[in-house]
Amino acid sequence: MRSLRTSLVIRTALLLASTLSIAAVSIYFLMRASLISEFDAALLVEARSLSSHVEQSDHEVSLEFEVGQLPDYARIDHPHYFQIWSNDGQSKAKSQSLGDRNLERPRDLTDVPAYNLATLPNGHSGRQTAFQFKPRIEDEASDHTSDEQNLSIVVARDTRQLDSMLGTLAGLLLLVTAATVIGSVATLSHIVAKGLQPLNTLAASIEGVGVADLSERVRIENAPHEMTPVVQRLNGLLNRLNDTLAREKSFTANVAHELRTPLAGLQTALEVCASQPREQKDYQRVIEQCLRATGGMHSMVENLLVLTRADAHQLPVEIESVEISSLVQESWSPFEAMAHGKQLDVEWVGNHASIVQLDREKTTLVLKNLFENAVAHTEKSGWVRTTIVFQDSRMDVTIANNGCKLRPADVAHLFDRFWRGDQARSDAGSHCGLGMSLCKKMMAVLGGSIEAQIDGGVFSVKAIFRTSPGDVPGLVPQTLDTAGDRKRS
Amino acid sequence: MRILLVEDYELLRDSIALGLREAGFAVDVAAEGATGLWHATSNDYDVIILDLMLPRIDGLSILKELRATGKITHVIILTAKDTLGDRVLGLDSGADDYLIKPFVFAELLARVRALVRRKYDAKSPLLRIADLEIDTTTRSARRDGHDIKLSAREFALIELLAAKAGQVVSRTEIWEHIYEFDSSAESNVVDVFIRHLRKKIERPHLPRLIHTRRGHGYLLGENG
Repeated sequence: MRSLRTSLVIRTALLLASTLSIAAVSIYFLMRASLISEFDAALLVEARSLSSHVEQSDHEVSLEFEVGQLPDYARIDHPHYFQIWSNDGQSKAKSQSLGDRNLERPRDLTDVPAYNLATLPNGHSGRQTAFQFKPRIEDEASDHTSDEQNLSIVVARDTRQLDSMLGTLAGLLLLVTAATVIGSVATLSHIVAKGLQPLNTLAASIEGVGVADLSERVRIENAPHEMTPVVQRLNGLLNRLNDTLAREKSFTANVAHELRTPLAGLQTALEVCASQPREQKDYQRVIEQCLRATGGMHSMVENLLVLTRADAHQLPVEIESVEISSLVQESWSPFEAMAHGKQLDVEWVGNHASIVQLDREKTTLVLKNLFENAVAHTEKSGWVRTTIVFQDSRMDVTIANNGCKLRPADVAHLFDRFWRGDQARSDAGSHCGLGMSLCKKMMAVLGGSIEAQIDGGVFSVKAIFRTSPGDVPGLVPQTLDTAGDRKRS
Repeated sequence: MRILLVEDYELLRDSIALGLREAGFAVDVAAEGATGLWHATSNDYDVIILDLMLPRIDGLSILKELRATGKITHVIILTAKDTLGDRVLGLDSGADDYLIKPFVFAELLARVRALVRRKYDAKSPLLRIADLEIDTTTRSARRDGHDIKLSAREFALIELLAAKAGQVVSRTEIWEHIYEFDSSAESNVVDVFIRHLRKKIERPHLPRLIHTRRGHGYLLGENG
């Protein structure tokens, strides 16, 4: 995997090299065009100058100077060349540098100068300009207009100096470009490394966060502005992870703790039972006690599984038509004997004959937990009152009991998992502090809500179920006249 | 020896109590903190086995109250709380021992016996009075090389007398250490058990070991 630093340096270097190359090539061609233009201008000046010294008298064309008087056109080393032709292609004059050789006369010449590359007689490359012109008439008084003939001139020079200059320019540009790219890569590499240093610091800081202890936070001294949100998000993530880990730890510890006592009970019962031979009834008694204990543990594990499934959104809501009276009876019946044994005054308020659409299983689970709590925590000869009220598309079930020993402030913790007002484990499993949290979770799954209140020793919990009217004619839920629909059992 | 067991989980409470009784201890039980505290402050127990998470009054409060009232009864905390902090807090609050649930009953029994020995300043589980040997671990007694078969209650009685060898032990003290709180035994039951014990221990050709101090109680020792 390529590092960010290498990637940044390579990409930036490539971009820089491309940009500089384009710039260098552009500069080269601009300079080349400019130099060639100057070269051509010089050629034209020479050609115009030569043509201005061509005279015509009668039908003769002559030069005002001797060809040998022009040293640039006579020297052996890199000489200039020119040649003048008449219209019929007859050479009228040429530079001494040509000797017996001739320049090539371009066709279709006009009086507009034409420029082109040429291979000079000495084999060197050069440039030439060519155009037609009219020679100066020696006797200006006479009228020779009709005899005036057009001449053609070609002036050529080698481009050695120009080529050399362009070569130097190209080399210089190449050198500057390469040096700039290499220097930039080195500088860039250093700058990027320095710029990415906070990332290394961040990595080291993250590494410092322990696996088991997430209380450490990522800190970077003088962090660049761009990294601040990253550090903040990381610390936010660590906060959430830490909270989750703490909850998981607490949950696991609570589960382990809740299982320790019944496990100790089972182990001790079996060890003591096995310590000596006993009568059949003694074994039977121990087996029954152990089965009750495992039943309690089973209940706790079931509650935990339901909570876990609810947390994982794996509890689908299954709506069906439910007759409230049978639902309440089913939920209450497991605790009826206990309530009778404690001589509780049990009061029912509301129209229990209604039929509504709701999830029977989950509603029963909630009501069972609430009834169990009410009966278990009401002292002998106390009272439990259940009120069911229908309002619009909701069913409010309020279960209240007296003799509550909790403080009003305890309401804040009432729905916490494994929280109990009393630290007793008198009935490990069924009263391990999961009931109310289970109710709250179930109500959330059902789209309802649950709230509790403690006032003057009276504990009341109100569960609000979202319902729709049932499909049994004549049994439409209605707002209750509690005074007229009250019974005791 | 008399033990108080304060534990709210019924199965565990009943099982420990049964095991201790079968090991020769008299056991009072309490299912919640208030009753446990009342028992602990009202009676002189050899060892108290105390759960921490109890209804009404928690175990640590009982322990602190006990120590505040000057009771020096040996206390074993028996709890599901297993962290170092919990253990330190329990021991610093005045507990003599700390056992975490779940546990092996034999270990609890051994710890109870160790605390009983500590109470009576006995380093060894083997008590020797003249030619009488009492092994508190195996719950066995020998005299002059012969095994003596004793019932659990008789062993508890001789164990108490041996632990306080050379001292007069009153009938009340014997009652308190041998019988449980809700026992319905007759008032002369101590004398009856002493008589049974004498029949099993005393030999015509050997020195008398159990002596009666009229109006005071009984004394175990070679020199009455």
